[in-house]
Amino acid sequence: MSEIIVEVKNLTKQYGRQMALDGVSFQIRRGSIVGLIGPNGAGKTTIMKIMGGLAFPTGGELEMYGVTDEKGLNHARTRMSFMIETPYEKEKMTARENLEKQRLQKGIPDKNRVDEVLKIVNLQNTGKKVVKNFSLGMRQRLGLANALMGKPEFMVLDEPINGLDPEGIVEIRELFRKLNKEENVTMMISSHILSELSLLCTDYIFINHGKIKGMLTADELRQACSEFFRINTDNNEKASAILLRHFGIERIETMEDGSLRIYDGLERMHEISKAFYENGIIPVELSRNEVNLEDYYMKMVRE
Amino acid sequence: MKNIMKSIWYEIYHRKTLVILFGAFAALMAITGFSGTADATYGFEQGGVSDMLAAHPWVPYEFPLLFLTIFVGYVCCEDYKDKVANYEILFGHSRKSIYFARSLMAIIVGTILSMLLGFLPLLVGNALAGWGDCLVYEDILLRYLLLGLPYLRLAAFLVMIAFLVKSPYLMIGIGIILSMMIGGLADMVRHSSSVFVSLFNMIALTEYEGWSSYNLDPTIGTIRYYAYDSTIPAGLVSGTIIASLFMTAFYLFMGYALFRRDELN
Amino acid sequence: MDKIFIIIEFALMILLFIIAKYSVKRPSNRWRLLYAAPVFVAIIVAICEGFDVYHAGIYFASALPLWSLFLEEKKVHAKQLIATCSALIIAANLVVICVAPNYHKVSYLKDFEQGFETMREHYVLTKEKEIDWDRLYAKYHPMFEAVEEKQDYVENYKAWQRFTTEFFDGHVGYEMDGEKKLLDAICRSYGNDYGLSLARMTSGEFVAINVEGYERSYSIEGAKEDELGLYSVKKKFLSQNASADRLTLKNAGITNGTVITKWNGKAIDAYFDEVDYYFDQYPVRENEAFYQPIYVAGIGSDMTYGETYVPGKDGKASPSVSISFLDENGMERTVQAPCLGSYAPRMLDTFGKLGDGLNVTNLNWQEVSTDTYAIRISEMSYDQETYGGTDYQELTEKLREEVLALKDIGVKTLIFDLRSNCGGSPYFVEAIAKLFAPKGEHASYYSAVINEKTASYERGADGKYQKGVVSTYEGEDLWHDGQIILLVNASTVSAGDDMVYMMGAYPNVQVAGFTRSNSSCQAVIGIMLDAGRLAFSAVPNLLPSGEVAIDTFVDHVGRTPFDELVPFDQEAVKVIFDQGEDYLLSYVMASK
Repeated sequence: MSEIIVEVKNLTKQYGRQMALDGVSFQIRRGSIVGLIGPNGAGKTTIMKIMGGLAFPTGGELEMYGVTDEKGLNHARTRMSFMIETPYEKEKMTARENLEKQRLQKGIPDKNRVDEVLKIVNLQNTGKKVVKNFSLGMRQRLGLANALMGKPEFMVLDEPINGLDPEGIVEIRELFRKLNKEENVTMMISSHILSELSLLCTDYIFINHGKIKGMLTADELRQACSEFFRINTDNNEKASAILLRHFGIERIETMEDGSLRIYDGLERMHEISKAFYENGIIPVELSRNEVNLEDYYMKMVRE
Repeated sequence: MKNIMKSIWYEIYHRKTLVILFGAFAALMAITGFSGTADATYGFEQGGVSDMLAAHPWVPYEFPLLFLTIFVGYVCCEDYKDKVANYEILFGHSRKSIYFARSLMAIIVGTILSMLLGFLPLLVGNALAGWGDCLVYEDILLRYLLLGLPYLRLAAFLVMIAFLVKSPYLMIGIGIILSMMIGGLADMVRHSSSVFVSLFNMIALTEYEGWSSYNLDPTIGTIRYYAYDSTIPAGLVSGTIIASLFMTAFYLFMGYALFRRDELN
Repeated sequence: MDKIFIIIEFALMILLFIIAKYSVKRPSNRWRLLYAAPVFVAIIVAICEGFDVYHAGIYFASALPLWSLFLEEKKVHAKQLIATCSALIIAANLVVICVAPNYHKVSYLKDFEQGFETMREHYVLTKEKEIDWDRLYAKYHPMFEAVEEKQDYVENYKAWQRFTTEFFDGHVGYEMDGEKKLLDAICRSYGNDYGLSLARMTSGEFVAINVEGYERSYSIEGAKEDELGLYSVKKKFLSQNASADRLTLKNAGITNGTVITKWNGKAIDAYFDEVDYYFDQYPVRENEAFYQPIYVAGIGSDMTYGETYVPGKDGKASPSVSISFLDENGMERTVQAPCLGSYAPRMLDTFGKLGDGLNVTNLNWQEVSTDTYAIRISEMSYDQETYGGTDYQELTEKLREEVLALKDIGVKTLIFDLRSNCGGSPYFVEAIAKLFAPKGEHASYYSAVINEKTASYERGADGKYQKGVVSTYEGEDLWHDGQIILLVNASTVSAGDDMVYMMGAYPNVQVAGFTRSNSSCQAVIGIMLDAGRLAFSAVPNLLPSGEVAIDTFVDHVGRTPFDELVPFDQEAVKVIFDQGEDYLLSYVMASK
């Protein structure tokens, strides 16, 4: 099991009467890509701001890289990078100048690093164009470049692919994958483009009204979102045995109500129902179901 | 802290806004020195720049005060306007180093630049008309050097305000109001313990005790004569030093106390 | 302002005490600004009112809550403790302020010392008036020490009036800061009102003038009628039965012109030595003698000059005065006149009735008869642009036009009403004088040579100031066939004196009045002191001989031309105080 680099325990954030975060707890392990999913005003940005040090929690504890005190957290942030809300940029400076300013601020000695990250995000040819004249996508790339400057171990990104064209989305996705696989960079990404998240994330956190609604791994989510058959008979035990012996279906879930759920052999449903009938099992219900990510998301956040 | 200062310097140098602004103020001060000296010396005929400094004591601080406010506003607020300053926290710099990096840079560099501006009219006037004998040169030099201390104190106060308002435009407005107020404040200074408020301290350092009289001339009318005593009382020196250092430290402390738990959006 | 400052700071501490707990329930980024609010209030007060060492506790208490910004949100008790400590410090500071004798002490002594030293160094008539500075310092320093000790602005006013009277110079004067304080000091410095003023007739007899109970006597019932602007102050000096007592003198048979024989059982001139300060300055001895009796009329029985009764203060009874007078049968009778309030308003009204000029504005003409026109010159200024300069050509041309027009319609006599002329520009005077001066060049004054380094005037070996530039003008003699009369009084001063001096020398000009002009014409400089302003003669005007012009010397003899001393007699009293008419103008008309 990989190391826990961020642990949030019962984090609370109150603005006046409003609870922006209400007892939020989760962990992030090294090497994971965590998708933070929730509607507008759910508390995603608040979590990121607290992690980044821009805001202070009202209650609870934040632990990053094993430290909880302010000095330690500041030091931990030097191993991280953040892109929260819209990227912060000097509009009257060029991309290169913006990055150079950040390079100096971070104390990165390598002057070539600016060119490297510009190339990574494909902004190396912007020349003297100032950021004021950039498109939304270009600004987003610049923000990502900024986030990559310090070769962080952990990146916290708030809607990083917002405004990118499809080509750009693919590029960035591949970049994230590469960073994660080759350099073991941990990421926490919030996005509304769930399909993109589903291609990238290893873990998911669903949040709404400041509360965690659910936490799943990618596998769990896949499971939750797959097609399946719901089988209910007068003798589910016998039915289960038939499925295993005759059709080799191993993955059979028995639900709380006693019904069965299978994810494999969905194309052989006719044979299955015939086999039931031949063995004296009367099927009460045989239905094909599907849960997609949006549905799952809507279900999670509405609870 | 060092890195933050470097990044601010980089922006100042590349954007050149402040460089141009300083140049504009320098030109303004030079013109003030030229015209003020010409006026005080009847077209460079009689007297010298000391006549101008005695007649217009506000010269070394009225415009530099505005520049100082703009400079502090730029250094402390500009990056908060577009939230670029948030990166300092996000990158792991402590609130202490962020605050003191910006504030010390604003205070020290702002004070030095303001003092340079304050000296310009003196240098220009001296080059054109000589010193004259209205005031003693060494006394004025000491007074103008001491002027750095109330600048320091005022800059520290402005830094505290800047971190609260986080708007360079508001700081410009404050600077304009201060420059406009300074004339009215000169009348209040008689009723104030002058060293404890930096504006009054500046007035006390640049106004000279003395006597003035006049004669009536049938052609010109009233001709005024001034005799100034430019020696600086020991109490004013010690008061300026103590009050400035103490209040600068206090404002820095207060500004940091307000900033350390400030939530940034 | 102090009270407001303390109340605000105290209220802020209470607020901080409350929000220490409330901010935990309702967290917000803005609460921290409240912890800085006391300091900001203290800074604003320090800028507006000045730093005050007696407020040190409040400054410290206002800074203490900043420590709360370093405490965690949950440390409610600690924050409340800090707010409580601050509030206690403020309360303690309030006690200190209340008991400290030197709190907000006005530096009356420092003002005197600064004023005195400046005058000693720069007063230009030291030699001419034989001013003994050491004697003056020895006399007045203890007086101002006592004023400083008591922190009494009324005594400060009196001390300055006494000091400035020593110079017999119409250009030496002190004005206290704060209009209300000044009016109050004036009302408390000239005694109480017993319903009349006193005057000395040319015959030597003392008479009652401006007597209460008659149509034109001074008696203000409401603020609307109070031309002197003293009503708001004088109100508090009124005793309970003031309105009922107002007819005492009338009922006793004292009218304007009644001969007064004794005041509190003493001859009136026996009080003159006691009267050691005046409202105005009288450099000329005869002028002083004319006005002295007026000041005596405020002295009550068993009271000294200037001592003023204020109802409700000191637990004293309302004073009175015994007035001995000659009734219509020539018998001496005595009446006990009660106090009607403060004497200062009646005194100033009396000065006004004696000294007011024509009822027209400056530089306006009034027809007196078919062959006589009068012009009022109340001050020597024309407009804002010309004042301070030398170019009054426009004035000269305007006046020339007017005078020639008057000549054309057969006017023979011009009267220049210079009564209570407060002065102004000498070039204004020249601009007028030149029209009437005999043809040829005339010199008015020489300026004195100034040491530019020290900005002061130095005397030569002969003890005289060194003559500088002379001001001259060319005479036009426009009125050589006619007569010019200058009406003056003791308040015709400064450039008013200049006009008397210049034009009084012309052959067809006569100067007339109850008194001579003031006789003060050196130029003035005023210096700001902490509690007021001191003005004195600081720029010499010299005659061709090198002597200072016009001002009296130690003999107090007037040196301006003066041709006709108008008798101040019963008729004058009746016309002025019963009929309310301009006696002086009527007299010169009758006698021309």
